Amino acid sequence: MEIIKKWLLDWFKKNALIDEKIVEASLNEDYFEKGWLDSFKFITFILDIEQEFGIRFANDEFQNKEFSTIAGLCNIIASRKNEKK
Amino acid sequence: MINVKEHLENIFSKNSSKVFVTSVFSGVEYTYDDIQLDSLRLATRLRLLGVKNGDVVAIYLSNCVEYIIIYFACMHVGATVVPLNYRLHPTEIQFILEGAMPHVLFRARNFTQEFDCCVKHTITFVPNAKDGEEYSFFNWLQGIEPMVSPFEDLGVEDAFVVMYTSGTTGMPKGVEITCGALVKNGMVFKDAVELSPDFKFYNILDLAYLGGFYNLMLIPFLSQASIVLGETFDPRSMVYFWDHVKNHGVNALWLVPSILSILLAIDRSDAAADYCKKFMKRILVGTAPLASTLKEKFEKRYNVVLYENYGLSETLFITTNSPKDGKCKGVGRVLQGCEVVVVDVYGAECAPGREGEIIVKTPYRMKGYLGIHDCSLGNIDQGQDRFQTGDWGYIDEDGYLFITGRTKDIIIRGGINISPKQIEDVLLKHPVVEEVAVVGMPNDFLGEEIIACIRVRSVVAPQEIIRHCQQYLAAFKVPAKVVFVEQMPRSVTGKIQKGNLKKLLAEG
Repeated sequence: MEIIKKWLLDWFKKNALIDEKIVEASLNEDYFEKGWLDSFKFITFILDIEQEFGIRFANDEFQNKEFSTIAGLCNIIASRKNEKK
Repeated sequence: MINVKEHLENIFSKNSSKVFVTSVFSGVEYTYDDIQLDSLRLATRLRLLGVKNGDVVAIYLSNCVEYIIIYFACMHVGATVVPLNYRLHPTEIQFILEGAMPHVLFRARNFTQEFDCCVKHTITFVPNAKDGEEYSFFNWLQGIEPMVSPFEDLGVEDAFVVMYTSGTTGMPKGVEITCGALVKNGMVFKDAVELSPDFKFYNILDLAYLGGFYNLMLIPFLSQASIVLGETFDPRSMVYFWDHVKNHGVNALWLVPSILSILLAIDRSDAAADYCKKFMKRILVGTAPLASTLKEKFEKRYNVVLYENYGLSETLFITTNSPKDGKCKGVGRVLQGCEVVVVDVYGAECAPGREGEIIVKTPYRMKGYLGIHDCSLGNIDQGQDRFQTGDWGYIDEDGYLFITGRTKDIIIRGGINISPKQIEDVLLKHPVVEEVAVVGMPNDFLGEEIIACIRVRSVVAPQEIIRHCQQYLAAFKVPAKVVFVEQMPRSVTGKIQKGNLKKLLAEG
C-alpha cells in the first residue's frame, strides 16, 4: 500500500505539479474538487495507473466515490492487485 | 425571407406543452411554455431594474437551466448578453467586464471572486436550485406577472450576444453576433443536417460559448427538438457521460474532437456502443480539426457516422457534412447563402484541389468586435465583404472543403482557441525569461497542447515557470511543458519561425 501511495504522490508531483506535502496532506480530499486534474490529465492518470500496476478499471469503478481521493484510490488499486494474485 | 421574431414566437407557441429542457442536475423537465413564461417574468424583472434595449447583461454561471432563461429574457428586452467563461483567470474576466460595462450581472453564489467594475445590479443565486429552495433563482421570479411581450424589443440586427474568443493579439476579443444571424444561420444549418423535433441532444458544452449556447441550445430550439442539460464536460462528469445519455434517451450529440478521444479512452464496456447502434440518430463534430484516425476509431467503436462541420465565432457555420449526401468528406459543403473561396498568397482563387487561405463571404457574419469599430483588422476585406478565416485548405472537385492548416497563430486546445501571444506576454513578465515562443503541438486527446519554448538569462526550474503562469492565466492556458532553448529559429528578417520550432520539437 505504501508503494502505491508513493507512486501516486510522485505522479501528482510530476504531472500535476502539486507539491508532495500538499498532496500528502490531502489524501482523503477530492482531487477533482481541488482542480488538480483536467479531463486530459485524468485520462493520462488512469492510463499510467493501469500500466504501472497491470490492472484495467471498469466503468463503474470510475464512479466509485473512493476513486476521487488518493487514499480511496490506493485501496482500489491494492484490492485489484490482490484479485490478480 | 424569415421574420425572426415571429419565427421564434411561433416555435414557443407550437410546442407549448413539449419538454424543451431536462436538467440532469435536478431531474426537472421544463416545457417550452415553462421556459417562455419564466423568461418573460425575468424580462419583466429586468425592465424593473431599468434594462433597456442595448444594455448589457453579463452571466457568470456554470451550466444551468437559468442560463437558458436569461438568454431568452434578454431577447425579449433587446439586451446584449455577455456570457463569462467561469474558468477564465480573474484578470481576464475583469478585462471583459470593464469593456462590457454590464447593467446587470447574474452570478453563481459559489463563485466568490469579486470584480472591481461598475455593475448596476448583481443577482446572485444557487444554480439549479429548485423553486422554493434557498437562494433559488425561481424564488426571485415568484409573483411576477409578465408585462413584456415575447421578443418585444429584440433588435434582430443589433448585437445580441458578445462571445469572447482568443485572437492573435493577446487578450480575448468580443465578437458581436446578432440574433438575426444566429436564427438564419441556425435554420440553414439544421436543414442541412436534417434535424427534426424528435431529436434529443445532450448539452455538455459550456453555455458561455457558442458550442453550448448556439450548437446545443438555440439550434435544437430552432429544430423544435429538446435538450438534456448537463455539466460542462470535465473529469468528474465524463465518467457519467454515457449513463446520462442512456437514462435520458438522448439520440443526438454534438462533440468536439477532444471529447471523442477521451470517451474512447475511458469507456470500458460495450453498453454505450449497443445503445448508439439502436438509438443514436446524429453525432455532429466541430470547433477543432478532427483527425481521420480518430474519426474512424470512434465511428467503428460506436457504430455511428460523425458529421463534421466548420465555422468560426465571426462567421457562424460555413460548411457541414450532411446525411442527404450519403457520404462525408472533409468539413462538408458550403451552406446555403455562404460563399467560400480558397486563395493563394497573391489573392488569386485556387483551382479545385489546390491549397490556399480560406476566405468566406456570408450574410451571417458578426456585426464586429466589441469596442473596435474599424473593421479593417486584417481579417475583413470591407470592399468585397469577405472574411479571412486564417485557416488553410482546399475545395475538392465535388465542392467539399478540407482544412489542412492554419495561417493564424492560434492554438486550439480541446476545442477552445488560445492565443499564444497572451501566454508569451505572461512569460515575458518573469525576470529570467529573455525570449519566448509558445506553440501548439499535436496531442491525442486535446488536438493540441501548449508548449512554451523559452530562452532564459539564468537557470530556473520548469516548475517555477509553470507556477508563474498559474498566477496570471486560466488553468487551461498554462503550458503543459516548458522547453529551454539556446536560440530560436529565425527568418532573414529576424522573426521567430514557429513552424521550424515545431519541427524541432517534434524531432525531440
